[in-house]
Parts: sequence; structure tokens; C-alpha cells
Amino acid sequence: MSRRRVGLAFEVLSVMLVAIFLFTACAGGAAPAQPAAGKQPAAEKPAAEKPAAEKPAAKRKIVWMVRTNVVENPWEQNIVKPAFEKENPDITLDILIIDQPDIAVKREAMIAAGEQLDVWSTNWGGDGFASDRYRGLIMNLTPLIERDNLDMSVFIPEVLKIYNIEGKQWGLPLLTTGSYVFYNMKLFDEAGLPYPPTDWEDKSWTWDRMLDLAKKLTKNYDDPTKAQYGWIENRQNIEGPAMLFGKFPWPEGTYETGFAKSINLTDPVTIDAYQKHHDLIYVHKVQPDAAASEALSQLGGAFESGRVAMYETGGWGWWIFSRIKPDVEGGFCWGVAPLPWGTPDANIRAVIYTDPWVITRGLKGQELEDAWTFVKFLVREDNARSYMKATNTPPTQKKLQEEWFQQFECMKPEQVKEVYQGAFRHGLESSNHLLVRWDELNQIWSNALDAYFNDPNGKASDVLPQLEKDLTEALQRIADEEGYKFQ
Amino acid sequence: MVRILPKGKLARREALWFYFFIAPWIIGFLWFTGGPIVASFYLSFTKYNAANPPKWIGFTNYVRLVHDRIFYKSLKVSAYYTFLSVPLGITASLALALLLNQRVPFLGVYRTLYYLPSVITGVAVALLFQWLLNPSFGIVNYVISWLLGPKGVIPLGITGPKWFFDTKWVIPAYVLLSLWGLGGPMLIYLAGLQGVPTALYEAATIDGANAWHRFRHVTLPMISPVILFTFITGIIGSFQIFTQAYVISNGNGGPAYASMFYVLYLYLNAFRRYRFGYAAAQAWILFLVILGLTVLMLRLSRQVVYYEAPGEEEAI
Repeated sequence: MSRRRVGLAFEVLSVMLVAIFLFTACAGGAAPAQPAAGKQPAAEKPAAEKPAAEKPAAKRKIVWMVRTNVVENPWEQNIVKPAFEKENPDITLDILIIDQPDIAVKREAMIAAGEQLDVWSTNWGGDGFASDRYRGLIMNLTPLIERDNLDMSVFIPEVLKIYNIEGKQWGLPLLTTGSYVFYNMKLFDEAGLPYPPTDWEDKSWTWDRMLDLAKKLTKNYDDPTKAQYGWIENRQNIEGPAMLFGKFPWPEGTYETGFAKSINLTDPVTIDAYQKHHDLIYVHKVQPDAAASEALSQLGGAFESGRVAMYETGGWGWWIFSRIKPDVEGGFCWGVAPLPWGTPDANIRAVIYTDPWVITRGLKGQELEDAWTFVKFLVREDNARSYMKATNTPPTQKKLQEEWFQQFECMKPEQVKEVYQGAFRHGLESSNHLLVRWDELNQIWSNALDAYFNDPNGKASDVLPQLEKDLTEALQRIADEEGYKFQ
Repeated sequence: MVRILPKGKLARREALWFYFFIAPWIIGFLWFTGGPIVASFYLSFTKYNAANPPKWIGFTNYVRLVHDRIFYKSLKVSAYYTFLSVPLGITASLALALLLNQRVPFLGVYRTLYYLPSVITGVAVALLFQWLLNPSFGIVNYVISWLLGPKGVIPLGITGPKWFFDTKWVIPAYVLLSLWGLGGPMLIYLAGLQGVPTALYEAATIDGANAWHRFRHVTLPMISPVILFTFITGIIGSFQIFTQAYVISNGNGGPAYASMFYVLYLYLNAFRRYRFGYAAAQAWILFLVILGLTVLMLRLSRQVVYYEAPGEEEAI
């Protein structure tokens, strides 16, 4: 072989080697560092490769996905992780913190890619429990519960039942709450008005009574920089406004199957309900429009601003508003009332929000055992209590709830108990937890309803028939795409 | 047959070194860009939701897109935005470049100041404009009210639109936002302007041309390839707008789909509705739309774009 050919061969070889090196580097980067879901964990492999004395067996790992949250994250990192790892020295707890809007996509991508993900909660960001169960992402916990004889009587039965479908328990609830009217006591006192009741059965607490109070509590409506608003509502899905007036738009059985053939938004009562909500902004002028509401929210929170007398929202208000205290500058005493009766038959009018811990489906062997050990650790009374205390979220265990009722300085514990528990007798779990592909449906109704509520001349009778048609079309397509057959 | 290595020792050696140094990029392109492109083409013919393996369904995704009302709406929204933002962007950035091409004191400071906003992009700018254009608290409507409001300097009773909350004003609001990024094309125009030979201006002046004539008959023809470049890249960029729309509309493309840009709808289908096959079909249609527009622009440009040196057209 001539020198020229040798040189050429050397150069070609160099290029190939570099290429192979780069390919290998890429492949190495993509490979999971830990055993993928469903595979045998490293610690269980026979210690044949190296004697145990030379290199101790690698620690096992659990990946726990949580949402970005200023009160929950310190609890997870500073309390749960050290406590769990102390009790289980052979397990490392990896906390994966993801922003709530991205969390559903992230977990689905991780599971699809075979990346390790063990424990998480459905309902955070986009689609919720129904979608995760239908797509086979979560594990039926019943065999594990029965095997370990886990005491389920500690949980509030109604709350536990939400994630029990056809006798299978898919998750253990970590927090639960209804939807309520949070009110600013200071503004009521200044106006010399009585507080709303705490009893959900109190028939005097009607829509008209609420409107009367809201009118009296609204000041300088046309000047957003000085305005005080009587009422703001955070729309509770598509069903919330209708439920206040005794109408439930989803067909019977929707929440059991996760699918609906249609939705009824053209019932005269539903149309009237939506018009009444619209009138709060443009006729009665007690509620700010979306632009002013958004600005108030971005300035630190509409209710927190002290310029909103009554704020209807989900029960996250219990913990979000817990930082508002009368002895803090700009703070005030706040109370909680039931949602008002839109019509006398609106017995079921609250939307309930319950979040469970779940385990990724397909885990086996030691990895499953570790994940289950961790879930049991999370729902154990002492840890559930530390979560409750750190975050102020309402617990799902009977004993802890009694403790939780005690911690509101401006309301008596019996009042808190009455108003909090009343929502469960007068409510239904949220559609975002129990409808498959809820996120898509939410985008459809948000588009129509946001435009409607932004339009001073908007008429519910014009908007809702088209929205009903669009949603029905989407519901049928979703069922078709997901392979669901209606009975 | 394509010859990879040329004849001759030196040329071959150079070629090998070329491949050696270009190899990381080629491998990266094939692996991280070429791979997904091929995969997305395959996925566009499948039903795929990430939880289960892709299932071949032929042209179903493309057929469904033809019947998808929001798909057409998103195309219209993106086209409307492009129609407004690209000409406006080109005009404004060219005007700025002309101003900054003058011999004035502190020219470097002005150039830096006008380019500076381009450094901040994406989410930060979206949030900034959300505030600037807030109908109740935003400074833009405050100034409009102060000038033209019922108690304004000129009391015409105009208080400013609802911008992002109004179906009619939401796209103009996004167009205003797009002007924040004028610095990039402005810099390109500035480079183009400085490449125009001064001899041409001197000759035109001697022939009696005024400033407008010099701009119309010297500057514009000489920088027309640059205008074509920014026009084409502007169209491509405006069809791909996503971040601002996602942040401001909270991922809904509202109100009433008035800001449902094409790529936002694509993203929602892929990552919020898990219709990856459907979204891949959308991506390929977008590719064809942009390709078609680019070819059309290049063909139309032959009549209006002046290339000083032969062969420059091919380089564009």
C-alpha cells in the first residue's frame, strides 16, 4: 500500500471514529440513568459483577413528580424527603418539580419514553384523573390496599369514593375542598352590613340577596384605579354557573364513564343563569370586567387587594388567602360563605376539587414496592398533618379535619366546619377531574365564554346554542378518537 | 454518481478536513433535525397519543384537517397577522435604519438604544405588553384617554380599545408587540444601506435628484435583495408565532379563537390533546404553505429586485 493511500485511509478512519464517538455520546446521553419503569431495579441484580464488600449495592430511587408551588415545595424538599430517606435509608427520593401547566404533558412524555416516574398526582395541569385512568397511566391500588390491610376508614368516605371506580381504588386523596364565597369582613363592617351565613341550607342566602349586598359594597365602579367591587367570580368550569341555578348540563353517568354524548346548554334556566352572570358586569356593575380582574390578579391577587367584598372561587382560597391576616399591613379579616341559591331547587351547586396520590401503572417488583411504601408514607397521619400545617390545605382524613377547622383566626371552628363540610353535601366533583380530555373541552368553552363575558352586548341566548353544538361535536369526536363506545 | 471526494491530493485532503470539521454539525442535523422531520412525516399518517404505539391510519389526519373549523380559523389568524405585521415591520425597521444611517453625533448610542429591545424577547415581552395594553390599567390606554378621552386634551370621547380582550383588536395588539423586535431587521437594513456605493448618490445629485429621488431610484433598488430577504424571513417568522400567543391567551387562543395562531393550535393538538399524528399533519401543511409562499415571493421578486452582480439571485 502506498504512503498516499495510507494517509488517505488514516484520514477517512479519523472521520469515522469521530462520527462513531459522537453517535455514541448522543446515545449515551439519551439512555436513562436509572432502570426504566417496569424493569428490574439495579439493587435487585445479582451482585456478581463486583463483590459487595468492594462496592455497596446502589441505592434504589423513587421519582416523585410535584407541581411548582411556594408552600408545597419547601414541605416536599425540607420535610418529606429527609423524613422518608431516614425511614428508608436504602431509597433515595428524587423530587421532580414541574410548572403546573406543563405537568400533564411532562408525565405522559416520561411514561411514554420509559423514564422512571413513580408517584404523582392527577389533576394538576390540563387533563385530570379520568384521562389518566382511561389511558392506562395509573395503577389500581386495591390489591395493595387489601394485601397490606391499609386502614381506609381514616379517610372521609365521600372523598375516597371519588377515585373508586367499579370497586377499584385508583388513588389516595391528599386534599379536598369545595367552592365557596370568600368575603372581606372589613368591607362589610365599614358598610354596616351583616355577614353572609355559613349554613348551606340557609334559604335566605339567595342570588338576589348576594346581588343586593354586592351593589351596596361596590364603589367608584367606573374608575378601575379607585374601584371597590362587590363581587368577583372565578368561573367553575362550564357547569358551575348553571349549577347555581339548579341545572347540571352534563348527561347522567358522564362522571362515571368520563365521556358524554352531548351537553345541554340551551335549557332556558341555563341560558338565564349565564345571562345573570353577565349582567353582574354590564347591568348591575358589581363585578369588574376581565381586563380589570386580570390586572388586579397580577397586582398580587384580586381578593388580596382588599378591594373586593365577595370572591367566589374554588376552595384553594382557604390556603391562598391564609396569608391575609388582620394584623399584617394591608391585611383584613375574611370569612367564608356558601354559594348562594340561584333557584330554590339548586341543592347541588358547589364544584368539589379533590387531588389524589397515584402510582404509575406498569411498575413491578421492588420499584412498585418502593412507590407503594412512599404513598403509604404520604397518607400516614403524621405526614398528612405536616402537609396540612405547611400548606394550610384541607385534609382528607376525618381526624385531621377537626384540627384544620381550628386554624382560622377570624372564624370560629364550628363555623368553618359548617361551611366547609356543607359544600360536600351540596356539591359534585369537578368535571376537570372526571371528564376524559377535559383540557380540550375547557379550551372550547373558554374561547366562547371569554368572548361573551368581554362583550357588553353579549347575549347568552346567542352564544350558548353554538357552544352547545361545538361541545357536542367535540365530545363525540373525543369518544371516537379515544375508542369509547356509548351504551 | 455523486463524487464525495475530488480528484487530486490537495483537493482531497482539503475535502477530508472539510468533512472532519463539518461532521459534528452534519451528525447533529441528521440526528436532531433530520430524524424528527422524517418521524413527523411518518406520524402524520398515524394515530398517536404517546401512551400507545402509533397506529397507521393513512390520510385520515389530513382529511380531518380539511373538515376542522379551527384549523381554517388558525390559518386565517396567522395570515391576517402576517399581512399586517410583515409590511409594517419592514417599513418601520427600514425607516429606523435610514435615520440611523445619517451622520449625527452619538450615532452609536442611538443605534444601541434602538437595537436594545430586541435583546429581550419571548415571555418577558409578552408579559410587558400584557401590562402596557391592559384596557383598564395599561399606559397605552391611559395616554389615549388623556389625549382623546371625554376629559382629554382633545375631548373626542375615545378611551382606547380592549386590545387582547377584544376579537377585533387582538391581532393589531400582537402586531404592536411584534414591533418590539425591530432591532434585528433594522441592523440588516443598516448593513445593506452602508453597502450602497456613495458614487451612485453623488451621480444622482449631480443629475438633480432630490432626497426622495435618491431614495426611490438608488437606495431602494440597491437594497431590494435585503428587503426580499427580510420579507421572506418575516413571513416565515410570523407564521410561526407561538410564545406571545401562548402566554397572553393562556394557551386558549381566545377570545373566540381570534388569536388562535397556526402554531399555537398545532401545539395544543400535540401537547395538550395528545393528537401527535394530527399535529404532525398540521406541521407538514404549514411547511407546504411556507414553501409555497417563499417560492411565490422569489418568482414575483424577479421583476422588482435588483441584483448588482449576476448570480446573486441564486444565493438568496
